[in-house]
Amino acid sequence: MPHYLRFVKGVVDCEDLPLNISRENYQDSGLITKLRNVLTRRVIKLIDDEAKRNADKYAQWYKEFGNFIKEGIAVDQDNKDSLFKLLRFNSVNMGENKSMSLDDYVDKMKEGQEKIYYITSASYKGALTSPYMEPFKGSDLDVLVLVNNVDEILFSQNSEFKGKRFVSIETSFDDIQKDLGKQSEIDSMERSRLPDEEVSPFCLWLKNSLKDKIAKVSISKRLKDTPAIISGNMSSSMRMMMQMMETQG
Amino acid sequence: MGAIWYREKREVTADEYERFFEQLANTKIPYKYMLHYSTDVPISIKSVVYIPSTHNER
Repeated sequence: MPHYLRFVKGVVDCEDLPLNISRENYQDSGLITKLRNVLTRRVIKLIDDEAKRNADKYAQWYKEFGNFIKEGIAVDQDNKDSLFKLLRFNSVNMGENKSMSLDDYVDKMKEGQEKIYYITSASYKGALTSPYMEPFKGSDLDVLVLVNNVDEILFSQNSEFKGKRFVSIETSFDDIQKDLGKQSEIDSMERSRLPDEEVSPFCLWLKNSLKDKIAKVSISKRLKDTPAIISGNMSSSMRMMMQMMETQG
Repeated sequence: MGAIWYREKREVTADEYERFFEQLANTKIPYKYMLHYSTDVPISIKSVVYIPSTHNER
């Protein structure tokens, strides 16, 4: 068994194995590798089947063992795709107490939606009140809520599931707007009533006073109730992680 | 207890599976999922594999 499946217990008998095996040559013989591959695939399939049979029972198990699966995704390239299906997430539309798989999310996607949206937050409630959530309010686009830093690392390492890219809603808004459709565009045009003469000097002033810290100032169409937002190429928890790495040298 | 992984699936009772797991994992906590798996292709395997319902890595 690979290391991340170390919780699995059992007996495996293989008649093709020689009876007298010395320690060093059994460790990496081709037969053992084959055996491990077969069993690994079989165990993952077992978990997947059981998850489909009884989602609640699986959710319970996942709470305990989810981190093993995540470890597997990070280390086992061959079985990554099937392991991804075992992951469960909270989402905005499903509510805090229900979890969904990435397959569920893809099934519920709107026609033409190409991205899997997620938000990272320390808590589920915090995610709902985040200003980044604003453009999604009133739309039926679902957003996955990641409360675990590890989840985000997995997303950014693997970048896609079934051809759908993972997109943090804290980064570029262009994609979101495309999926939200034209309706919101018209809404926001009506809302931006400030004349250009007033807006441009303000943007200039903002850029000059913050010039060491930001790359550009732009008028946002994504917000409804919050005056301003910082957006970047990385999400805030990634930035936090980089800060952590810097302080550790 | 005999080698239950050598026997046919339908001949092994649920109770035997449970007792075998208790013995193997040295625990009274019942297992979560179980797989009795035998195959000849690509290699000959006879196995009983358990997935526990809890672990102690925290």
